[in-house]
Amino acid sequence: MTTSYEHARTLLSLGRAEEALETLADAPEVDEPEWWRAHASALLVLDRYEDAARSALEGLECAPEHPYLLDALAAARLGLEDLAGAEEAILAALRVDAEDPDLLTRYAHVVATARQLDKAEKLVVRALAIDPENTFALHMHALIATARDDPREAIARSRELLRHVPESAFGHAILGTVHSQEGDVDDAADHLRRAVVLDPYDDDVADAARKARVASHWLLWPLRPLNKFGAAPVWIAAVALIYSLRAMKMRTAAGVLGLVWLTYCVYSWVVPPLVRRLTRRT
Amino acid sequence: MSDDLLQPSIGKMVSAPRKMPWRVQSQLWVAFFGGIAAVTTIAILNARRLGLDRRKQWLMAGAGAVAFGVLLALWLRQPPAPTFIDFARGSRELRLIGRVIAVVLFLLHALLQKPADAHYRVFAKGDYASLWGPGIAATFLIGSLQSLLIIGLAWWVRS
Repeated sequence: MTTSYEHARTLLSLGRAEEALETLADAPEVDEPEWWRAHASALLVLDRYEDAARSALEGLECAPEHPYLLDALAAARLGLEDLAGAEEAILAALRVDAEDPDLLTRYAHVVATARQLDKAEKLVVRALAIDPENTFALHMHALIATARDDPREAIARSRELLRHVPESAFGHAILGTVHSQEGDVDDAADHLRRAVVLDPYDDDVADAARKARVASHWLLWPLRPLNKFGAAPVWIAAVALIYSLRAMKMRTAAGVLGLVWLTYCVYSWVVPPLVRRLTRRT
Repeated sequence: MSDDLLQPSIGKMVSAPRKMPWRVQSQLWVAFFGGIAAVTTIAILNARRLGLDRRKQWLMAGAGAVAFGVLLALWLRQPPAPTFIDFARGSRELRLIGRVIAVVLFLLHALLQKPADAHYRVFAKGDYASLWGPGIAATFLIGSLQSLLIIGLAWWVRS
């Protein structure tokens, strides 16, 4: 017979956290640490951090050094922005098992949130040395590169994650976000769309996917240089060009270019909202 | 096992709820319409929201001061005019140059904010505050103050 927490774990892996909670409530095996672990995990998935922390603490009463309950506590405190508390919990877990890649990665997440990216990097590298295919560690590895503002590395690391887990919504979401920041609108739209298909419940990703779809629309093709190089450099280049033509006494050419530039500016204000409407309808 | 990596490093800092930062890209419009002083003010305020270190904040202020000096020097080379209004009209080129300087300055400010902004986006689940109110306020208040100061000073010297 499967226990309620085993059933709940299956539901959780399918992304059905609410149902997992109901299943757990039907059979509260409160002297089982694994029951508490599943309970806290479900609450974490639902972003109910206070409840998750409480659940993990209650579970720890029956199993004081349970590393995964300590891990859940750390995750909950991280959600509550209690970084010192999260560090305390995850270090207690790592004292039980310092070689667990998931725990090492959780600690990496905690210190990365506290802006200690070098330490986070080292922790993830250690986790990956123990298990090169650990999904959580591969994900964190890519996130750290994004937070470092290193798009090349972020792309390489997300690809590495997708090589091991082709169905990773995280991997596609990171790739899509990095591509959209780099102005590669087609790749951005493609990866974000796949991320939405794989995880339809993440509103942020859905929002980013919508924006990327608009940006890759054929009507906005002329605006791609703005995405690629940024509005400021393009404007400076246009002004420099117009004024150098003028300085070279080519007033007609300068005038025409000025007019083209003005049209371009108007286009960049008027057309994107229209395309947004257009894509919303279809 | 003594293991440096597994030693606590966060400490009991009470992470005070910081104000949400503004989008770095939106500051371009403050530079374009408000000028050097406006964009520098907004950039430094945002640097504090992002938790940038003091050195970078001073760098921003310094770059703003240099840009201000360059613009003032250019105005000081303007030919004198009978009235302040005539002088203030200046040359169209000079206005444009002021704008270009402010936008270049924005690029530098943006470069300094970029790493902290990337961290904020990834690890602080970054929502952003709206720059509309503060941006327009900075554009009008600080922008006109700057024009008055630079042009007034130049006019006073030249006449």
